[in-house]
Amino acid sequence: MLRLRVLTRTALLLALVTVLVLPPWAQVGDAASHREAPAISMDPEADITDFFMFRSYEPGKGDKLILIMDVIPGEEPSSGPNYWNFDPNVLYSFEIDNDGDGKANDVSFEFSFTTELRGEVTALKLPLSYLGDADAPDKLPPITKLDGPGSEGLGLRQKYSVTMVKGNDRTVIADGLIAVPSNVGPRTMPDYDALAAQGIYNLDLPGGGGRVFAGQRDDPFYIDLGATFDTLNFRRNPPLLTMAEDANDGAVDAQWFNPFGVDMLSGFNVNTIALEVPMSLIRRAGQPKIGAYASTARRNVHVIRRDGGPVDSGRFIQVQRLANPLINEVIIGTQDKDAWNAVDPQDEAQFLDYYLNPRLALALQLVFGVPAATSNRTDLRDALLKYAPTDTQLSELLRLDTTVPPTPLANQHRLGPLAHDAAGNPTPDPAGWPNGRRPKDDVTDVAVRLVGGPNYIQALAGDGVNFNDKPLTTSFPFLASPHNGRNRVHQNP
Amino acid sequence: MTPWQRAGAALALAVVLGAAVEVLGPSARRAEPVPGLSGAVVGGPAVPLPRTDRSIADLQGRLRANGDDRGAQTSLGLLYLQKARETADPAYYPKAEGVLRQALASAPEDPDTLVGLGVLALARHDFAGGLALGERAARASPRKSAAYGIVTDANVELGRYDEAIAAAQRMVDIRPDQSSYARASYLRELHGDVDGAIEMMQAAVDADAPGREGTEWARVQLGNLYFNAGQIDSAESTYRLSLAFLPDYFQAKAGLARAAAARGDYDQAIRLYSEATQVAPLPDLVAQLVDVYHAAGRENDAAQAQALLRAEEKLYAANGVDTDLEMALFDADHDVDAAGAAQRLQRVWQQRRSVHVADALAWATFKAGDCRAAEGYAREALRLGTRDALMLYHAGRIAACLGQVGRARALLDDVLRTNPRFSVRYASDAAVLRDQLAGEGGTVR
Repeated sequence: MLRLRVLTRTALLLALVTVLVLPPWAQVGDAASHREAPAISMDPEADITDFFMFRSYEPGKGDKLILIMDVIPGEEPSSGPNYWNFDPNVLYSFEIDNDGDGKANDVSFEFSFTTELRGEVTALKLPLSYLGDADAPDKLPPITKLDGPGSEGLGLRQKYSVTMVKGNDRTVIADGLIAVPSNVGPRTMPDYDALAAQGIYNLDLPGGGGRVFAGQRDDPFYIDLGATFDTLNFRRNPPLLTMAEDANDGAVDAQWFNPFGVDMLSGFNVNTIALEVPMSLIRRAGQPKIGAYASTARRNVHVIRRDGGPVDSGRFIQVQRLANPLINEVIIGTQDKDAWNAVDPQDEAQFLDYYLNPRLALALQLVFGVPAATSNRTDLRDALLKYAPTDTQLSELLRLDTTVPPTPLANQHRLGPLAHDAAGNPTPDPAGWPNGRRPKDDVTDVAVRLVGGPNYIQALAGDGVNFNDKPLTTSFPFLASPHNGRNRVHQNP
Repeated sequence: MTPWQRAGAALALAVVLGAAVEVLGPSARRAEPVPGLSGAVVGGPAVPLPRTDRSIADLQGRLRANGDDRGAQTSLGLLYLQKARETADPAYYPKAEGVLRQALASAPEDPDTLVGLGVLALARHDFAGGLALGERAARASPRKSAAYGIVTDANVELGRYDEAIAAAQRMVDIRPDQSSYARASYLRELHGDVDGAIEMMQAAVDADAPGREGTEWARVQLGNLYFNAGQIDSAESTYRLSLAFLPDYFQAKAGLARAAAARGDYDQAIRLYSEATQVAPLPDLVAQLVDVYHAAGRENDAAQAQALLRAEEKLYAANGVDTDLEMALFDADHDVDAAGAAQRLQRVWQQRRSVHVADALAWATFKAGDCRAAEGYAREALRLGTRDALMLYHAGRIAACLGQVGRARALLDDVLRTNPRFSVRYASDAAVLRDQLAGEGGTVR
């Protein structure tokens, strides 16, 4: 099966024209006898597929800020026996700028995991992570609890801590929380949703309560990757939506279908870290806008140890960052991808040329023969790298105007600021990307149009996939329950 | 049976028929990189293709649609190299070279293409060429982690260890991950820091998903580190874990075979080596199988396996791979024209002064009867303090030949402390020699 890794976000890929699509699993090395380690690590546990940030649209929770990162692209639900886990050696974090200076060093939340092997599985020395039989609970109790009786079969269990960093203050705000395991199937985990609900923990925070969740969810991203990779061979030519199709946000179940695309991520899962915190904990007086990104980091080491020194030299090195969707895949050139991931967003100025002269626009123009806005894109620069056009600091952050009220899920428009009704009248939804980002937002279509420019906005260009394969939920952690390994399917909704 | 297993079987059969050399040319095992597809066409349940095959097929499709798709050319080149890694079939090298050269023609400084060509050069044991390509990729993209991996590997094989350490440090500074951790582990191992190497290889294993080829490769290396430290049980359980995550992984089977041989279970070792070489007839593994056949007294089988090894040598040469070091060491071990082997290794030594070349040259020179000259190379081989029982044994044998009883005894003590079961071929000789030396030179500590 494809483990759609890169693919996830390498989305609009114009790979074709300029960007190299490195095959996800390519390790590359030598078959002969000299010793050669893989040249390229794909590192799925540190690979952030999506970052979401929005004011909570859960009823009555509008004063909460939601931060979500997804990692491990394209989790095949049936991938036993070990399924999918967070990496104990990776530091996962959200980094936030709340004073408008473009430096996301004001507040951060760090998550680190540990793995234990326990219970029945260890006792029986089985090479399995999870074990349980809902049909014979006397012999093998099914997994119904994350801890205590009912958790005997949870052989591989991950716990995590949450640390808040403000300036020099580091506060462990939670420890020993249990991550929700992969959804194995109904015999082992007969009521997965009830099990997963135990993994939503309340946090006691200054300024009010919050919640946290870590575990498996359905991958909320939706895109026609197959068509995209086949040289933008979309399933309608040209790939334009009708006014009615484009206006359909799937509010009514009967309307919930894709006009012409195939969601290549249907039936795949991700691992999610979701955090709910009081907005007052983050916001600074007089600063309505915040910026943030998600980061994964690993420890650096000294290649040669001095006198038996420790393996770790202590310093964490960022291996990936993600703020706005699709930046590393469609904006940044291939020779700068490693460098881009390693630097902090506040050092984005060195990559400015990619924003001013986007290759995606060039690619669209080339493939479809429709003129695109290919140069001097100060509008993209201002939208993606600044709070206000007058800013001089360029930082690639996902930005949120916290004064914009959240839109209830049922009323959300997937096209955010570009939304319209079936008659073509604008119905902008200002609470969607690029003002923050919600799982509902169709960032593929929005990106194609914003980057392509007026011709692409007017013509309603898109990949023809408008919905996730599982309905999103109105409550924390907002992403749908993951597909189970026993009965997983991959199909177009 | 995959086409590669079939190819391996055909090859073995050809050897049996005494026709190996005739059927082996560059085209004898032509790379046909869409295995499995024909099965789907013929009917029956659609079997999901292995990931590498599937991606190769996808990219070939993309290139059929647009032959100038440079991204696809480079990706396909890298996938052919991955496929060679998974099958030990060097016929993929010319294919990789073809598409990578095409890609480079349209973008001469593309860092990904340069990395691909660098990997290819290393795979063919053209380490100077690999170094140049890696450095060129690093100039084109100074923060590209993979470029420094190539520079590291090339410098290691060229015996330029300080440069290798610098490149590996740069690599891990840019991106701590499985690729950079694994290289740090190897450099620690070479410098005699076995514990540090084990810790680092464990970090490499933990830094990517279980079951992926790179992860299981790292896990097998971890098992090898345990084996080389004499911890045969830990080594075996590590190889078993690897097999659980990646069933039939030939590197893990070879590890289990080595451990079985070390325990004296030759039947089991022969079975496992045969399975591993069926999937991937790596010269190293075939050479080890030869040794086990000898140890088990199965001389006919040993001769056949040896013929397979010679055929492999020609296959590798036909696909541009330089196997001088490996084959010369084999010849020296088996007393096949040791003087000639030493001469060939002299030429290798002029090009690359690695501890492994020094060790092979020392051994071949010793076998050719010149213990005096061998000693200098043996000291070169141990210049980093590598705790490799075989290298220590070679040096001990040479010291004993020169009558340096104290040095020989110390070296053989080191061998027995490091891993008394280091070799099917030489382990018992090491112990016997140590006992003889104890009798010669006074007290034993």
